[in-house]
Amino acid sequence: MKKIYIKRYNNGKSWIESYNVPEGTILEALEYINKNYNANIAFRAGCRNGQCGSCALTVDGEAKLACIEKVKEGILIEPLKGFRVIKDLIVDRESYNKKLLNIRNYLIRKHYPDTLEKINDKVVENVKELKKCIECLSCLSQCPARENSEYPGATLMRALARFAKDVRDEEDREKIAFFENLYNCTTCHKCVEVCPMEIDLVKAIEYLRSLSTKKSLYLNKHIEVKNNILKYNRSVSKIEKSFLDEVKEYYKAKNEKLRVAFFTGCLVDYRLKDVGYDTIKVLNAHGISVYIPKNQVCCSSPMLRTGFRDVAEKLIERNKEVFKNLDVDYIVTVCAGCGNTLKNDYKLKNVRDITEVLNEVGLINYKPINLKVTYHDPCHLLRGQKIKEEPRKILKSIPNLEFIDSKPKCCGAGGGVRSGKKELSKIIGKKRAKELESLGVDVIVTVCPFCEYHLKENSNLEVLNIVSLLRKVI
Amino acid sequence: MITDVLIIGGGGAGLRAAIECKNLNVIIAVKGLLGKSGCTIMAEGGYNAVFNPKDSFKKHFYDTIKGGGFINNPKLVEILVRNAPKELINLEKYGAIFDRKNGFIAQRPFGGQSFNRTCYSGDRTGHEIISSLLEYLNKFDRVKILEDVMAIKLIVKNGKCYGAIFLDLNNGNLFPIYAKSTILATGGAGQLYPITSNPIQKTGDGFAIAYNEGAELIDMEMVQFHPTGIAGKGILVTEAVRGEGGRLYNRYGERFMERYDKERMELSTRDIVARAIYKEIIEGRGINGGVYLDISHLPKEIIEKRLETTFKQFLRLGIDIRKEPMLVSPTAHHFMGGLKIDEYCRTNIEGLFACGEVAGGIHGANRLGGNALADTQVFGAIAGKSAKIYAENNELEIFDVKIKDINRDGELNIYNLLDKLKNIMWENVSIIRNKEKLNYALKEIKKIESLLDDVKIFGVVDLQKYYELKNLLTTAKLVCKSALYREESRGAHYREDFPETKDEWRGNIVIKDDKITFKKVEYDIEEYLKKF
Repeated sequence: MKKIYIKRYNNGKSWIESYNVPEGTILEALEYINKNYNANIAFRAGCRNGQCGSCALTVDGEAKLACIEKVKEGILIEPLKGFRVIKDLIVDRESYNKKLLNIRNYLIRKHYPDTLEKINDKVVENVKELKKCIECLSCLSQCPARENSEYPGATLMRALARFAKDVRDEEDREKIAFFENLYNCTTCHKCVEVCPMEIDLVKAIEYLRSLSTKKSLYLNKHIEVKNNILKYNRSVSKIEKSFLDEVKEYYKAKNEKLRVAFFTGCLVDYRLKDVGYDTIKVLNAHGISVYIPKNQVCCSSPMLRTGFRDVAEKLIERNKEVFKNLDVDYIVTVCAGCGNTLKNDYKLKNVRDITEVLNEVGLINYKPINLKVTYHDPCHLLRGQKIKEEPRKILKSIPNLEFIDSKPKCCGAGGGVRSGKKELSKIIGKKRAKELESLGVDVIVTVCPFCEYHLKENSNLEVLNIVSLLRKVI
Repeated sequence: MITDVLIIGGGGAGLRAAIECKNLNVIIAVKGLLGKSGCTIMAEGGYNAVFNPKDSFKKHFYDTIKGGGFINNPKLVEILVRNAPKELINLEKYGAIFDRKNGFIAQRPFGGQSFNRTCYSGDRTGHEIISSLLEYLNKFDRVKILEDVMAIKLIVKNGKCYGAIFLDLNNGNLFPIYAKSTILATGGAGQLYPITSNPIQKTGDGFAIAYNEGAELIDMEMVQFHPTGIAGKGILVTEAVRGEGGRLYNRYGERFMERYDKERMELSTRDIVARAIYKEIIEGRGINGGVYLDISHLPKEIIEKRLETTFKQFLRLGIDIRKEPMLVSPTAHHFMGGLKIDEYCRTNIEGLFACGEVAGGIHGANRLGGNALADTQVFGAIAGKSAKIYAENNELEIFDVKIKDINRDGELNIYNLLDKLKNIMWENVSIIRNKEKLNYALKEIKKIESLLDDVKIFGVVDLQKYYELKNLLTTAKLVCKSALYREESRGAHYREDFPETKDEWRGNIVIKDDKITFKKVEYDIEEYLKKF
């Protein structure tokens, strides 16, 4: 038997009850409780097999389907977050239903044929992929943009993308999406993580953005970024000598164990040069020689995330050329966004985040440091690259350093939100900073210059890239 | 509340009916969430419709009648096969998109069919249908949705229906919805059995509340057990697995279907395959209460794409069906019987219409896979049209309806009674039946019924279970009585004391107000086929 906790709600009052239940799914546990404890817990369910989406709820803070998720000792079950609770685990889905009307969630065309249409197999496949949604609303419940703005949430964007891909639909779906705050999504991928149908919702959103920019529906701030790229091949403007201008091409390590090419990214090159120097020092200290190709350009993430595919493609082509045929084991990034893009958009196999490569080559004995730190997971590292343990292992191996873990949450900087939707970005950033500050730490460590910049702006704490911390202890 | 048309049930049939009534005031009242609490959304395999020039209505008609043991209502079958393609085209108009092969609709083989007639959307065909109907319904603001409500009584006076009384599942209140016409689309009663493919809402509500008011129910003994549920759980393993080439093996590695239907093998009709599996298990040739269903000889991509749901559902159980077989056993799946309807989906109660699984007579003694989704759309549309015309030509009447008070302070746990009923049904009134078992079940059912006044009800969930138990008991009695009456074996109804199919039993059992009448089927198949 396992002890589980259930948050109940009725007539404005809420309280937590605990029950002992046998192993099995949460749905089975709820049925067991009602049967054996006269509990009358209200919950929704239907198919018992992950097909209907009725039974989504929150388990230890995460959206789950009760019919799939297994009972574990000590879990707390709550109603799906982000919705008004009607009773116990039943939430009011009206806000979602209303949005469906707003986005005109139905096929729109002038003429409907009387006979079966010939439709290209590929179109069917593409549309089907986006129609898998079972409307459990898990993605809405955990979306930082929906929580903090008038953004409808991922599955509604998915619905619009589905119509946009359907050759039969004649409505201007990207326009609807744009005015439903398409650009509020930070591309944090939380929706993708919680989607029981494994739909790539962010891909759908980026697809809509690529359509909307073609119709001149974009944010002016993103045009500034685009212009920077066209001018400097960097997403930010050049204000002084860059990192690449200053450094040598090659830094050989003593007792070389590995050779890597350093992909700096825009911010390290133009704004956070120290992070660049720290990276070289840290890599060398671990026996890793560093080669720095001087012709490298922006990874294209800012363009891909905001819908300027054509600009992005040129950058991708250039970088692929620059990093081709190098005599190195890996390409190393210190920016979650760059790493994510090189791995998932370029589809390069030899890309590693700095934390991966250090763990692979073997951590060295670090000097003690008296510091209390926490780690902020960059979304594009955690969900984009599935890297969670590596940075934690590094932090935990530093003597005297006190590591306080924190639950991952988006800081609001990604997806073009920091540049394009300043207000929203700030609200999300402030909330995240507050959570991290409440841990009572001295320093926030992360592996993403965007997170770093953004958290610095919204918090009183020091924020460091993990390489800058390591620089102090090697 | 008052409305023109009240639709009880929010599955494929109910939603389709609503579209026909879009210009009137419509309320769709659902026990769970709209579109999510019926069987349609779970239906995986497909939708039978004649599209290929080499196929024909005649063939579809004959396959259906033959599969149904020749007791289907031929008029309803004719309507089904003739309208199935049209309604599929309608579904695509509503936004659905069925799989294509070189641009043309893809069709897969299914059990009991002489042609590859089953249209599909991977193995999420029902989901595709429901999501498209929901999308299309978004357009009509006179269609109101009422979720988390359970119909507990039809409002009927002098043989005329004026709506229904509902239980609000969130606060326990009872309230009426008065309507000019009422459509029952509540589905079947899979929950009458402990092992079922059906969602938790399927407790025979429509059968029971209509029967209570004097409705005629037809062929209630005909309960389909789907051959392949996940062993021990009942969750469906779609027929598409066999349609795509899945094979059944017993513990000795023998393809045992050779002994039961050499010609059609795994793609025999569901009644035959279910009984075959059941026999293998009972006679000791099963494996942990199931038999193997193996698809691992097929290319990985076919399994991952066309059987994605099945693939993932087994992956969650730690079984990779690309490499290893599934363990399956029969599961309670579909009620062929139900409210007796005519070609306009009218019941014998004026103003009450029925469509989808709650209606009977279409599938006879056994339903072909792929015919249920077609049924929901074809008869959903007809019920909708009929209810609309009726509402336009009849006046609303509002009067007080008394609901009997329930004694809530008894001693008994309602859930235990529910379990007891389900087990009695599984052990005595499932795949293989006989007089002794049926009589025993009937006696036990009546015993449980007599205990209804002695249950303890603590809250709304218990109250819902109380009404569900009541409906299940009513349905159970109808199944038992009809099964006792039919002294032969036909389709899904197998009597080991009467194993033969007998010509004098070629007919329908109609039950009304506890009276059974048997009506022989008169039509001659050969003659009827000449119509096509």
